[in-house]
Amino acid sequence: MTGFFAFCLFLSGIAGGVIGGMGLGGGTLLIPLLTIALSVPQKTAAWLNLLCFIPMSVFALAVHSKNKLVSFKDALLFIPFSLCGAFLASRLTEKIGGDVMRVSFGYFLIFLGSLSLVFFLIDRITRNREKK
Amino acid sequence: MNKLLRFGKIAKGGMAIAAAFISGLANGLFGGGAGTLVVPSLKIFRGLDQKEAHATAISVVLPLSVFSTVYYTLSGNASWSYFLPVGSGVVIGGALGALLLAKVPKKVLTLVFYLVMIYAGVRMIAL
Repeated sequence: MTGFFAFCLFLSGIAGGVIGGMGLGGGTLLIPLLTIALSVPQKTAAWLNLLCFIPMSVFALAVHSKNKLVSFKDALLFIPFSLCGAFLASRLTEKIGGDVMRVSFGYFLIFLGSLSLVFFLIDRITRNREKK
Repeated sequence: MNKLLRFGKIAKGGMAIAAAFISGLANGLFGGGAGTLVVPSLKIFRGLDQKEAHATAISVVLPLSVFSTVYYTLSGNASWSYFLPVGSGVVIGGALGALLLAKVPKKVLTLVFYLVMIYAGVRMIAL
């Protein structure tokens, strides 16, 4: 690995970290940066993203739970079912290749981006109405 | 009317469960993106406000990410030499993002970020 490549990896991390730190979803930025710009294999990019955000999540969670913002009742409803999903995903990733994953992640991003955009606009409109 | 209310409550619970399952599936398959799904689900199906939804989503995504990280590591997708540059960038960027949060126009930034997301999606399909 060249020093320049390592520096680019570092910059991608910063970009993903800044967006993640703002609570906008850093992973959805870090993975495309790593795969599109730096040609990191999809599964390696996925692994990097998951691993790198664990320390930040632990820290953020500690702060939020101290501020009593975490609804543990709702978290306990979500956690077991999301883990079932993650388990199924681990079975599936064994069978499908990195290219299929990359393309489906592309569709997933378009879906998420459009969905978030719609929620964002609805939120803006309803807030403006409340003000009136 | 009572029955209808109860039905609505059950339906919302069911949708929350489905959303949780899909979030875990997507996070495991793609290596990220669960938060972007869990936050609106907690708001819509559980009635949390933005800050609560965000904080609670982290507590949901953390165990998921630990599970999927262990799986990806064991299945031979780890490249530890990449970890130090990316990881240190994420930690520094994360602190920076949290500090910047109060200072940047978040509405504009959010909008730009969603558009970048759609663009990145198109690029990933075309790559």
